[in-house]
Amino acid sequence: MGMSKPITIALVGNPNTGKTSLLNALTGLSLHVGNWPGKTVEKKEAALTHKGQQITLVDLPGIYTLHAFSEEEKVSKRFLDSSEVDVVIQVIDVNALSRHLLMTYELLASGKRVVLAVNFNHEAKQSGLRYNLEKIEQTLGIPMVAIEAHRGKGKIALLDRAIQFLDEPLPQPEYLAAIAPKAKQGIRHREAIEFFQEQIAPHYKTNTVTWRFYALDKFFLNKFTALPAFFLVMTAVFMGIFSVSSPMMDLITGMFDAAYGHVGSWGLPPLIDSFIGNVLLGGLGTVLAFVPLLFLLFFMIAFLEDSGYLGRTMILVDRFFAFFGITGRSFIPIVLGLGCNVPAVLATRTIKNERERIIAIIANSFITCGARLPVLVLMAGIFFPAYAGWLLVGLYAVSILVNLLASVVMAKVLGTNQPLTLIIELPPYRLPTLKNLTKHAWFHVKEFLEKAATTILLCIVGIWVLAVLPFGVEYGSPESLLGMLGSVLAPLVAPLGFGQTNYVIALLFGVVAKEVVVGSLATIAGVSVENLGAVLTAQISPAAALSFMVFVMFYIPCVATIAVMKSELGRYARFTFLIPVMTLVVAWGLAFLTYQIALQLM
Amino acid sequence: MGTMKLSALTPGASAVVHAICCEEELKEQLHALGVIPGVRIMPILTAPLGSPQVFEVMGTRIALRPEEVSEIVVVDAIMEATAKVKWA
Repeated sequence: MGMSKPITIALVGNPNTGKTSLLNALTGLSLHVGNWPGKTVEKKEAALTHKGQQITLVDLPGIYTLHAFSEEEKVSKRFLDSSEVDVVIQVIDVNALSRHLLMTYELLASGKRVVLAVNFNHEAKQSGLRYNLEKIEQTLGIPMVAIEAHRGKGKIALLDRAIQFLDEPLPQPEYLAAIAPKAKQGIRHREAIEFFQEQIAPHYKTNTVTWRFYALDKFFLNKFTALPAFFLVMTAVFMGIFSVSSPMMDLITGMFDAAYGHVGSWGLPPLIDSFIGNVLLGGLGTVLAFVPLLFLLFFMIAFLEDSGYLGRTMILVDRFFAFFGITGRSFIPIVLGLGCNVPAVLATRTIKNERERIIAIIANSFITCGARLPVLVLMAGIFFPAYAGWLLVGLYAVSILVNLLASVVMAKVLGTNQPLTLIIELPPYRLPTLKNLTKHAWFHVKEFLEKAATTILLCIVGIWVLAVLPFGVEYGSPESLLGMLGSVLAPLVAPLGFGQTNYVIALLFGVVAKEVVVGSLATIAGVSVENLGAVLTAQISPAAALSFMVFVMFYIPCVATIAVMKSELGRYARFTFLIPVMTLVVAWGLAFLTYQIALQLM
Repeated sequence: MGTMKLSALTPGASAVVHAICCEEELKEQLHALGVIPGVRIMPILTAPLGSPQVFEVMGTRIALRPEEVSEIVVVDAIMEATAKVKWA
């Protein structure tokens, strides 16, 4: 094959092999690297040039077999079957060589040109594994290259080998005759094991117990310590996020407040003065103050993922979830949804049972995402300053509970088909790298900043325009367009305790993006961020504030979430319209309930 | 060399997978994760709520619900803990 013709290389491998890390190292991209089965849920492509050779790299979802069961396995199989893949690079974890080779045999049997990228050699040596890669390579008869994916070690050699491999004849290893006598019919697992034990095991000395799991699992999955540790980890993560970010947020709001004070003294025309004060400093400033909070939120969720702990939470909750008609697999979308519902909905692809997957997608509407969090933090800080952190943790618990109850209801409505199975691999514990965590958090913060500069700003400007028109009215008064719109909609939420114009308008614009809610509250209030509290507390009672928080937690997911839900619902996509309807009904009902109970108690 | 159910094995013991009784799709899924006749499997622990159970097989850890565990028949059981454990 000539050097000029572009080639396609597919990256395949079991979950948790460092496939995405390798892709990032090869391309300089910053795709998110996770440590739970099913990180890459759809194929990702990247183009690069290596020593003059143009290469299209396709990263396929982590799969265990070419037999397609789950959605992600189907994606991979379809691509491998249909396209002209020149070379398949299979990333393997050398710590579990024999298991990873099972898929290698499948790939070879289907006639693929396979290069093995052998990852985690450093970890293997530390755990006392002794192996001779050269001997194993000779036995297997296909190229093997040692790499350390997260540090990018061996990536040049890997590409060199893959390109050079194209000029060599396609290997036809003899052992395949026994393992895969008929191509396309799958492999004979027993023969594969025998082959490994006879031919490869002599060059591969392993301990009987893989120590890398041992001590940590003994604590995190132990009968007595596992559940306390689980609640401790979850509470610590969220309390940590709030307590670390709040001084940083105070610093930012302080800066905007100082600026606000200056603007008044510039003697600008009233309209411009109002625009700078209300829209830029008040509205947008309030939104931007939440950057540290969101950064920490995504940082911590990435930490849970990368460390391998998130993968284990499936085990902890499975029995409990079985009670709700779902499996522990549904827990990962729940935790991811606390950050953002879009990746959470995509993560449901790892759920093999279609019914369970549909339930997980729809129920994710009730998981309070990071965009709604600013509203909760703002309101909790203003109305319940003494125990804001605990209140937020409690609200999160309510959010997860509602998700589970919704799952029960849907399980009943959709009816039971076959019993659900849970067959999953526990990811190894690995120390997350600061670089990867920061990269992941920055990815989401960047998205937030871009949204702040576009959608959120636009909404706030729109609200401001409604508040100043028609010209001559008092800003935001009942005579303004905003006031009129508010009074039309107010009766709808009046029974919930927050029938005032600013709350109604904030909720209305919040449908576009939940981050708008805090911004519009500040814009309409027309005061500095610091004085926002005084304005809000004068308008509604703490009971109504709680009711407002609950409403914001559950009402209509953002447009992006609804769109991804629609595409993931597949043949049930026609029911997507039910999501906004259902969430509005639930939000209204729960807010009403909260308000009534809170009125009695407070 | 008598066969027994995997569910009868206690943590610390180990045995070789002999047969998997369940229907084809489940069997394929178990095979893909390394639960294959001829492979040594070792119960590690049971989750705090009583299910699922965690096993070590082919250098990895997998979790199975009791329904799947009871479908797996093993032989060559070594009932005492023989594993030398190196702590991390």
